[in-house]
Amino acid sequence: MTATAASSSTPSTGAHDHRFLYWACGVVAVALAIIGLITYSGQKQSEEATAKAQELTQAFQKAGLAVPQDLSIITRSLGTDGGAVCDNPASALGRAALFQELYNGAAFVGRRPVIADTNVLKGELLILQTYCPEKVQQYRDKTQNLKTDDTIGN
Amino acid sequence: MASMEVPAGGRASTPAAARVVAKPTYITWLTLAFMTTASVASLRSAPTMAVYGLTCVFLYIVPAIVFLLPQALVAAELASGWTGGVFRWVSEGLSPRWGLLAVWCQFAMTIFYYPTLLGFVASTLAYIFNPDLADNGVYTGIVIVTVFWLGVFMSARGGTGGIARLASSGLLVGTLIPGALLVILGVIYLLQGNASAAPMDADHLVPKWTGIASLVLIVNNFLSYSGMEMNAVHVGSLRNPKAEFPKAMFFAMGLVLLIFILPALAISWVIPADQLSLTAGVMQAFDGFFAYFNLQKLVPIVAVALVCASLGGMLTWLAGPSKGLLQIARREGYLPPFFQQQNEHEVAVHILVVQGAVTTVIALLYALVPSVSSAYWILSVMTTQVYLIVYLLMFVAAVNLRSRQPNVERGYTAPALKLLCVVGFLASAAAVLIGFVPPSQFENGSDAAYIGLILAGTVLLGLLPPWLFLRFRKASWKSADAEVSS
Repeated sequence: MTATAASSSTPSTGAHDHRFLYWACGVVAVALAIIGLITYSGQKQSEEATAKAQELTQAFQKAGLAVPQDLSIITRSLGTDGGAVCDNPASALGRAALFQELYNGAAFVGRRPVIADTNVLKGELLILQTYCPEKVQQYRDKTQNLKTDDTIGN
Repeated sequence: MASMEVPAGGRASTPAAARVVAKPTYITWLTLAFMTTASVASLRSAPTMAVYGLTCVFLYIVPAIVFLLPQALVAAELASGWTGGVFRWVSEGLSPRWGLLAVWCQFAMTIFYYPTLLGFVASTLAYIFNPDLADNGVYTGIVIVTVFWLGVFMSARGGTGGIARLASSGLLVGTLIPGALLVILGVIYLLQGNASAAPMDADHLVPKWTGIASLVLIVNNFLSYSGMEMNAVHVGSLRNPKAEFPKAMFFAMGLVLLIFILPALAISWVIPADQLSLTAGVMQAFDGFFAYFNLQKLVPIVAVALVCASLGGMLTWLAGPSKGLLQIARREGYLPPFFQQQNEHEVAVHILVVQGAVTTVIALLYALVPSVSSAYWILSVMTTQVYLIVYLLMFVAAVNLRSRQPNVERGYTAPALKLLCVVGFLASAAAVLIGFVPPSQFENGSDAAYIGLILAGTVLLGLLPPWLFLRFRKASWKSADAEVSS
């Protein structure tokens, strides 16, 4: 495409605009990362966290689900309180977020819901039962009517 | 090489003397390949697909054969022969009216897509700053609206060149580097002698057949590759489109496959499928992944990276379809003069602003009204149905163009074009049909009501607006100086 009818060109202004955009985006991204590094602490390992992780592992094994080889994956990500998993799992936006994850493998405009595997929701339920049992009923109420199937089959 | 004259100010726009058009910005084929990849692939889907373990390879490769390959090869041939993207191909291959339908469908579905994309951005940021915020409608609404309008501003000021560079940077920083990190860590995990959490034997390559649920999973994954053709609208920004666009397309195709498959596999090696908690979003999976390596300090970096990738992709979607709509509006006079305004960077500012206003309303409803957010997934089905119309038209147009305009010089000639188009058309049609099967989220109600709802939404969003544009258009809307020649 060529701009044949341009009455005047302003490449320097355009380049200046672009440079400003690149710098602004870069600065914002770096600032967010720095703030994130400061505010995000993850979950601390402790005896209580290890006990909870063992409890969850047993629950998974009892339900016939796979468990990670290393318990630290659970302790460091779920801690003693379940971390983000227990943060309002059944609120309106939490429910919408869950619905958004029961999708196909697209990353952008092709995202579309599928019939999810039963075990994905079962694993979630066991995490809630272990770390925040008071939220289980609320979660069940919001998800019990979801239609699932054995699509993973592993 | 086809060229497109940039208007000096038609009836609909500012006087010629007042118009200032920036010097055309050329982009390299590699940049276009990165833009294309940024429009289609990111790490967002990796945890979702990791739950399928080795089966995710099948779930990406089969759609790649029946949908990605036809789409990419056909788009490569068409873009190496005609500038302008899907509106031009369908206009030439079928008729300008069908061209309007194609570009409208490509444009309209994005309106409903942005709130969910930016809702994901909001929840990802909340995960590292304060997870409670993810459930706060006001926070989510503010993030969606602010980031969306920043995107509109950047699209308007950046033009194709600026968007290309930002999208490429977003891909590099937000997808390629963290994706490579995930894969390297995954390989280290296996090299340490750990057994993969998901079985990696041949028995687990093909998904378990459970009837319609399996079909829904496999066919809906065709849509993972939606958008590969979208950036063809920028083909005129390449110095040698006929040779460079196909190269960009093939490179993007390889990158997209790698980005989709390898990080998902890496996650499945470390975290069992049942522990990929979905309520907390994809960050929970990355958190668990990095927890094994005691590298949780990387979680906020990856979160920001995912946000960068999402925004880079969003910029390409803001710039592409609106440009196509502007071109057909000016060429055929299908839209009122108000919508034909473009700025000095040839960006359809009025189209973007009106789109932004509509998106803002939808986004606020999504963030603040619980019943809307809970039911928003239905719009994803409708919008993907609408997008599939673009592909149906594109494949038919490609066959017609090969037979009706065989002498148009093409920089790349797709092998077995008719077969590719038949396969691509059937894959798209299958995805349309599968779109009428209720997914997990459809909890109650009859299947017939669901089918009626999706059908009505598809007609209202995809078919009605272009019909209204055609019905009420005036001869004076046509911009005399918007001429496209090949």
